[in-house]
Amino acid sequence: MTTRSVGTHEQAKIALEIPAQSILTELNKLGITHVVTVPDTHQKTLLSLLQDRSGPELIQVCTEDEAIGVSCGLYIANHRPLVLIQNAGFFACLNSVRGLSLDAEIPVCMLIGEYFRDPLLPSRQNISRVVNLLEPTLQTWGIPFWRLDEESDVVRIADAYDYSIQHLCPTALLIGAPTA
Amino acid sequence: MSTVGSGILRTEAVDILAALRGDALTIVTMQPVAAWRAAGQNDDRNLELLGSMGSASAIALGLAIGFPDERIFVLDGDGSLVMQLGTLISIGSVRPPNLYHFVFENGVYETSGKQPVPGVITASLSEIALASGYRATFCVDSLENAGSMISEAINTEGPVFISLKISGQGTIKPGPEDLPRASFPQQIQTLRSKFLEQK
Repeated sequence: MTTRSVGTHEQAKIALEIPAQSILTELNKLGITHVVTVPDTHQKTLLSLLQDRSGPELIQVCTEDEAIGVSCGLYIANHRPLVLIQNAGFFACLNSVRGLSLDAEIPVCMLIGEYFRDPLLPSRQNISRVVNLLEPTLQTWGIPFWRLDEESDVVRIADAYDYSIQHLCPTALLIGAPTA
Repeated sequence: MSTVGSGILRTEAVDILAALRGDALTIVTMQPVAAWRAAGQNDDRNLELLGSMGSASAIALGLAIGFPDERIFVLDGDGSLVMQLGTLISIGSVRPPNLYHFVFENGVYETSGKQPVPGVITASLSEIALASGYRATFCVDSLENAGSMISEAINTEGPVFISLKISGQGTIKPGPEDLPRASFPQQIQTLRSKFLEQK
């Protein structure tokens, strides 16, 4: 397996709140049509905006496995979906990411909240495994990732999304602090 | 819902589905893959999902939302459905009117040695689907009523759950159609291109 290390912002840093509206503005600029989610506490303000239908259509499913599958179906139907989940959910759906996005080469871009993270500590230095195993797991699986740790980072959403589409692979965007 | 029949062969169910398919987009996984292929249905409006057991119905939900003007048939297995059983609730919640969920219920994990699927005696997938929000469910348990029941099912507003009680495999006739058409990634890009050209 070729392991890509595209995550260009892996260096240790603290995470600051990002306004949900800034993320939503980026999603709209990117032409995201659907956000497929199992709700993430970390991104509840973003979910609230999406529920108000001020952007992409929000589709809520029961499990992260399903979120990956629904996103793949929407991609096949020539839409531009994004998956919104939390770190624990990412671990739960690894086999679907493997089967559908890595093996079947269907682009899946995941917005992953680092639930349980102490934002004053870099992700890998957090004591909780659900936080500190996320970046190493992504690296092991060869899934490129970008960090969203401050408002100016929202431009990386386009980087991750475009990379996924161009390379027919999964990518991840890691939200370090709860969205504001 | 009829429960008096002794079941239907997988090839018989597939032949009836193939005859009634029309131009439906199909996604097929597990049990029916080989028979569907042999029935000449592995065309460029068909996706063969291998290597991701359990995901077919979730992909079908995405297809149904994304292609609202197309009829989507998902040909699923009972073992694969129970791997992501929550999808029934997600489909029942979204309620796409164009989604038809056929589940080949043979009650066992066939390739690993026919171990029973959990719930084969105690659970009813049809009843779970109905309670999850599917608009209708049908139970096909004999060849005698299969054609009329499937015909009625696909003329009902979706999402519709069709339980196919499989009593055996039947004989799959090998032939040119039995060959794989393309890899799954190729099938996906072909289907995408086809619809992009139509836009």
